[in-house]
Order: sequence, then structure tokens, then C-alpha cells
Amino acid sequence: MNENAGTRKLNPLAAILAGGGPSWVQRAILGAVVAFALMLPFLLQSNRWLTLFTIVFIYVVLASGLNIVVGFTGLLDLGYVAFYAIGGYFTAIIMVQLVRNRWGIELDSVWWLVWLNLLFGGVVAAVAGAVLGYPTLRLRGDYLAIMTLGFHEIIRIVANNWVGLTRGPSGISGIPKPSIFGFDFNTQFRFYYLALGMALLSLFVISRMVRSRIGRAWTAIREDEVAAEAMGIHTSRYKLLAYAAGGFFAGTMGAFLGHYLNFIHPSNFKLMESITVLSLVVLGGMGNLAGPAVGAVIWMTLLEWLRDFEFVQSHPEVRGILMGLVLVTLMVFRPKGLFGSRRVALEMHPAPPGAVGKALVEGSDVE
Amino acid sequence: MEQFAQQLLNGLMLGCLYALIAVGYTMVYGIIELINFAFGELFMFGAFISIALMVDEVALFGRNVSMPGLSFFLAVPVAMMIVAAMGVTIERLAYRPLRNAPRLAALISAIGMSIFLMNTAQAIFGSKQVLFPDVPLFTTDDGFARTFSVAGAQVTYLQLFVVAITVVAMVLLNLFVQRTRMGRAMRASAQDKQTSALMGVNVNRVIAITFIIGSAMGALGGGLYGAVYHFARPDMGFIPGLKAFIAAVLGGIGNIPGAFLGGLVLGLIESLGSAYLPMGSQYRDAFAFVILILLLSFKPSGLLGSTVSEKA
Amino acid sequence: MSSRVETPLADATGTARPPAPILEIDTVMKVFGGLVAVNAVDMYVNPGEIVGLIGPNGAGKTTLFNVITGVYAPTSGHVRFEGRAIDGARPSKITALGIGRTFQNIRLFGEMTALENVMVGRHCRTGAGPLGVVLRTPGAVREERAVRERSLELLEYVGLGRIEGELARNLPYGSQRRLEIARALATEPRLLFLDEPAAGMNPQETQSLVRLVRQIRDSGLTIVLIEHDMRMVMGICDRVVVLDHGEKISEGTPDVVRADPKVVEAYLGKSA
Repeated sequence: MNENAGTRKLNPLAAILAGGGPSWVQRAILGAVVAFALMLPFLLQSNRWLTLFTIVFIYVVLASGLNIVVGFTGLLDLGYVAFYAIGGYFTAIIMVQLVRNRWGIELDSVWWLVWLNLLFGGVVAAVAGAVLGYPTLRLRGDYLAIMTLGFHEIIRIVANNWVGLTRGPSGISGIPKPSIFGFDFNTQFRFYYLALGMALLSLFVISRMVRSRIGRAWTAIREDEVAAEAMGIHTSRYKLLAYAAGGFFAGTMGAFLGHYLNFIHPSNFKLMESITVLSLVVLGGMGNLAGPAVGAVIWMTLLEWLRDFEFVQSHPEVRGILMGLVLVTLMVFRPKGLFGSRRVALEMHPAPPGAVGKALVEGSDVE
Repeated sequence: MEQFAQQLLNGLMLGCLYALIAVGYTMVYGIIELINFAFGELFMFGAFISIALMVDEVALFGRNVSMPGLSFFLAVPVAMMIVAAMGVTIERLAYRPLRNAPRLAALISAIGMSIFLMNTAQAIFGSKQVLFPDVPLFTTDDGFARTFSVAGAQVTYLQLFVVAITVVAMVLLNLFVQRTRMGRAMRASAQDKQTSALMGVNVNRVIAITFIIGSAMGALGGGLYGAVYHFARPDMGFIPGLKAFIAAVLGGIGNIPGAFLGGLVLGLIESLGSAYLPMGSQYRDAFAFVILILLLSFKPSGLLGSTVSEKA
Repeated sequence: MSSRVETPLADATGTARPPAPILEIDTVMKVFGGLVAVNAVDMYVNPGEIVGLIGPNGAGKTTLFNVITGVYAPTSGHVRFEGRAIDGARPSKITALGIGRTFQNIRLFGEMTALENVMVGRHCRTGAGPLGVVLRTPGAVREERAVRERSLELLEYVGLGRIEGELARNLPYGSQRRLEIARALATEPRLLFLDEPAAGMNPQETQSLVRLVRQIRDSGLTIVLIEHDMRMVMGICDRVVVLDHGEKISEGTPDVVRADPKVVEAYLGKSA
């Protein structure tokens, strides 16, 4: 049988989970965007914009990683940035506290460690994701959200107070810039391309994971956890996998941030950051691959651009007011976000009537 | 021993402040199953508006505006009324349209509202701390708190007042919920909104009243907090708000005496923990979150809540 | 580790014995708080049978299904599938062992297409992990292709061959029921539970469904069926089990059960 017969008739969005690749329209758009991004530094000859977009790329990855947890699997994670922190501190502690301070080794000589840390920062954060995700397995909706928030705060408070490990409120400085065989990433120009590369690689990996049985399992869990379990999906394992996958990308970006800023500080990881990343996902549209990335580009560009205005500089609360208004308005008028398709689901089954406290127990709305 | 009694007292008072906010959370969650993150900000506005009403002149949006200079005992009730109006407006604008939407939407809206309020307060009152005026009944002219001794500990008039007012408020609220028609309507709506509506309960009105009461209690907490700690700040409500929600869960969500109990327990743990545990005072804020995680992992129904069976 | 019970097909006297039951339910009780939903029910199902499970609404039929398929753990009692105890196992494990099901209230994955819904059913028969999936190893690619082919076949089998790209929530009711069956079949069950598959169907659709169910049984599966449509039950089932208020009140061939006064009383009340 012609194996393409099935996918030919499918609309492009339907093809996502059925394992089909992007349609040629999607490929074309993607190609154009990537080409544009590659040329951008030559079009905008300003460090200011390159810095902005480097930060934007970080948020693109963060939003896409969170999308795995919130958008595809339906687990409301309000504490995602904790994994960002774990990755950042991982590399900072290893490179500065351990290698340079404790062992007295010149950081220039271990340039390869930076790249390892980018990877292992992600791995450590992934493990943390699974570990912290475990207690949330039995919870639903709001309670899951609050528990993730609780974990985030605990990690932030520990980072701020365990001075021996994290140097507390002083933060850890002296994190080296990445370099590879003598080629130093010491200009904004080079960092832009590094960030772009990492973003593209991350999106590629996420896309592959989603367009597979794993992505189908995640979506099934979001749509109907009881039915997913009945169809042979070990829902606990796949939820943990979602947390781990999401955590991985946050951790990697956290490590990247450390090497980009040369500095890691608890204020990078406030609760507001978690909510900001969540806003990007919600704004762009959850549960599809492009939405959060687009949301990140639009919103972060807007926020950073607003910083140019003197009024905003002296009144930083304007950005917060805007964000709050956008969130509320979005939820009331267009909950699926800017680019959410019909396939999106702001899915959390409302509890049956009279079910106070029932929300705490794993889904049992089966007659 | 004196230190212990002192910490006990501090914890009790702190617990009362948490309880006042927790009650709002628990009532709202009981009926519409929404964690109203904005209660922390309403608490904060309670403090700010009390200050604004008590001073002769206050800086709003950077401009000085003259103010009535009311007494504390008048300013706080007025602030409560203003915040209650805010609360009910918020419900109408940000939550009611999402009554039937998936829970995630309402939750995000609540978070957005919380952020909006916090930053609006900053726009109005500035980002720095604003001093809470001294209250003559509680403070001497030199600025010292009036105290008296009990069991070796120094109890300030204000601490006593906080506890007393909270107890009174809780008792009144409980009477209201148990003995009045509206209270019955609230309890019915918490059990089953749909059926209550079919039985003729005006559920929208019930929810509005719930928000009015919850917001007013939160504002009361804010006014008292400001008086105790002598300041108000735009970000002062966020963490206490979270802790108050944790207190509500601790007591059993949907359970009003539970919220009171949960608040007290949390306040005591924080106070005693920060005094007696090593590095306790630095990790003070973490206690609440650790309690939350333990709670949700082992007894999500809380202290006074009932354990729920699998199937309704 | 299989605890398959080996029963010789002939005992010592040379008399042929029936093969062991594929499913044995042994004094199963399910209690929710104060409510006894399933009260000491014994039941067995032989391989290749179509067994009907009937009873008035609220009799505990779906609860029994849920206990067997692992959604609930029994309060007491045992469930054995192919000789192996499965009470207390989680549903995904039970599905992997060979029991498939549909739901009374149709629980499809609404935002996924018909094809994707069926492909989800293949999950427990496939094994590509994150690495295989990201790197597109030949094994993973092959597996994915096989999953898609098989899923398309199953859609054809239940008569939904033309609509694989439609979102499940947009399908008409009858198609949704069929899709659920296709999805359940994708899990490669040896025992299939159908919970009111004909609910809401008109007589033509019901006839079509009856044909499909017979076809499924003829292909080697055993089927247990909850149904209210008595004509369908009596026409298709080899045996019928009747529950009322959580207890088994009758059991036997359709004719036997139909004539049983206890069954008549349960459905029509004492005055009948």
C-alpha cells in the first residue's frame, strides 16, 4: 500500500502527531525565517539589537521547552524557571567554585568543559525535573500548579541563602566565555550565532520528539488521561518524561546564560520569570510547535524595545501592567493565543460539580 | 522561656494576619474552584489605602494629594470597603467570563490580575516603602509600642488588638455562614453550583458576596500588617498571599475554621522555626513551601478537610 | 513471569475438557465510601466467547469493567486474565497484557485526528524511546511506518477508511463509536471490552455494528459487551451475565436469562 496515501489527505497540522513531516508550505516558511535570522546581524549593525535577539532566542527555547510540559502534556508548571536556575548554577559552581577556586585550574585550559556543561546542565535539570515532578503526579490542575510554584520558591530561597554553594545574594561571577579550539565567543556577533544555533537545534529536537509516539502519548495524556492510560500509555512515566524533557532545555539555556553574562545571580530566577515564560507560551499559542517560539519573539522583542523609552525606564511597572493586562485579556477573549490552532487545548478538565477537594485526587470522572 | 513565649506570641499574631487572607482564598475556592492570586494584592492595597486615608498628604502617581487624615479605626474600615469594591470588580471582569472555561484559563487570568495590581500599585504609590503612620492608641508619643507583660513576654497593645479583631472577624464570619440565608446559599453553592442555581440561589450574587467578604478580610489583614510592621510596599502581598493560600490548604480548602487554623499553624511554624532552627530566619519563607509540598504529597485534604473517596 | 495455568485438554479419563477461561473474576467487591458498587461478583469468560453483561442502570456494570481494566483496584477479590492475577495492576499494564476497551461515554482524544487516535492505540506494542525518535534510527523509522500502516488498516476495518484526517471531535456519533473500537483494536487485545457500543445508534447502525463485532470475534478475540439493546444482546451473545445493585442475579445463555423471573423483576420491577 502506498504509505503516503494516508498523509497526503491530511491537513498539515494533523500531520504533526501522525509522524509526517512539515508540509512544503511550512518548510518554506521555516526556511525563510531561518535565512532571515542568519542575515539579521548584517542588516542590523547594532550590538543593541544583537543582544536583544540573543536574549530572545533564549526565551524561544524556554518557551518551547515549557510548551512540552504545559502545552502538549497539559501539566501546568508555574515553576519552570527553577530548572533554568539549576542549569545556570550547575555550570557556575563547577567552573568557578570547583575548577577555578577549589582546584586552582586555569579556566582557559578547560574550554571544552563549557560545552560539556551546556549538555550536562541540561541533564542535571532534566533529572531534577523528573524528581520534582514525581510528587505532582497524583495532583490535578491548580494543586499541581501550586506545588511546582512551591518547588521553584524553595530552590530560589536555597540559592539565595546557601552561601557556601551558591555565594548567595552575591551571585557567582567569572564564568568564562565559551571558546572552541581557540575560537573565542567574545563578541555579541558571535554570541548571536551561538544562541541562534542552540535555538535551532533545540527546536529541531523538540519537533522530533513531538512528531512521534512520544508526542502522541503526551497529547493523549492532555486530552484524556484515563483513556490514555487505558490505551496502554504509562501516564506517570510519560509525565515524568515531559518534565525531564522540559527541564533539559531550561537547564541548557541556564548554562548558556551563565556563560553569556559571565555571571549567575538569584535575581535571574525570580518567580516572575516563570510567569513570563508561561505568558510567552500562552500568548503564542500552546500545544503546537511554532506558537511559543513566535510568542517569545513577539513579546520579548516588545518588552526589550519598550526599555528604550525613558518613560519606561523610570516607570518599570509599565511593563508589568502591560503583561498583566495582556494575560487577562488574552484569557477572556482569545485563550488559544495568537497562533493556537483549533488543536490547542487549554485543557484541564473542570472538576464535576460539588467536588471541592476532589480536585486533589487523580482523575476519577469515570462512571 | 521568655523568648519562647515571645515567639509564640509573634507567631500567633502573624498567623492571624495569614488567616485573614486565607479565609478569602478558601471561600472563593470552595465555590468557584479558583485560586484567586489577586488576594495578596488586595491585602497590599488594604495597607496602602489605609495609609493614604490616615495621612494628611500622600504622593499618588508622583503628585502630592491632600488626604482626610482619618484615625486608624476609621481608615481601615473605609479601606476595607474600597478594596471590597475592587475585589468584586475584579471578579466581574477577569473571572466571571471564565466561569465555564478550562481551569488553566482562569488560573492564568488570576495570575495576570495579580501582576497587574502589583504594578498598578507601584505606579500609584511608587516602588519604595511607604511608612505606616503610628496609631496613638498603640504607640506612645516617643514612637515606642505600648506593651504589657504576660508570662514574662512583652505583649504590645497592637498584637493583642490584631488577635482580638481576627477572632471577632472569624466568629462573625462563621455565624454569617452558618446562620444566615446568604450563608446557607454560600454553603450550598460550594457543594453544588448547578443544583443550587436550580433551587433558586442567585449564584452570581453569592460569588459576588464571597469576593466582597474575602477582599474586605484581606484588606483588614493589610491594614493590620501595615500597623504592625510600619510599612507598605507594592510587592508586600505576593508572598504572604501565597502563604495564605498554603494556610488555606493546610486547614482544608473550602473550610473556613480550617483557614483560621491553618493560618495560625503556619504563623507559629514560621515564627518558632525562624527562631529555633539553625539558619531558620534566612529560610523562613521556605517553611511555608515545604509544608505545602508535604501536605500535597501526604494529606491534600488538610487538617480539617475530609478525605475524599475516588468516586462521588 | 507468566503464571499461565496449564490445563490439559483431556483429563485422566480421556474426556475432553474445555480450555481454561481467559478471564476469571473471583468474589470481586468494590466499595466507594459507603456505596457498595460491586458486591461479591463471580464471573468467567471462555476464549472466543461473546459474553453480554446486562442489568438496569446503576447495576455496577461499568464499575466492574473499570475494576477489571485496572481503573479501580478491587476492594477485595481477584481478577485473573489468562491465568494471571491482574487485580491492582495499573491500566496500561493490563492493556499491554492483552485487554482492550471502549468507554461508555466515548473518550476519544478530541483534538487528535482519527488516524492519530488509532496510532495512540499502538503505543504499547511499540518501543521507540527519546533517542531513537530524535535520531530517527532505522528501527524507529520502520516502527513508525508500521504503526501508521496498521492504523490505516484498522480504520478501513471498522469502515472509517476515508476520514483519517478528521479531528475526532468533529466526527459524527456513530463514527466516533467505531473509531473507539479501532483504537482499542490497535492495542492488539485478546480480550475486548465494549461498553455500550450501540448506545444512540439507529437500527441500521446497530446491525452494522453487530456484523463488526462478529467479525472481531471470528478473527480470534474474546469479547465482553455491556449493552442495553436487548435484541443485540440476545442476538449476538453466547452467554449473558446479569447484574443488579452490584450483584450477579443470573447467568446463562440468552434464552435462559430471558426467562429468568429474577431478571424480569430487576428490569421491570416487582409489579410486573
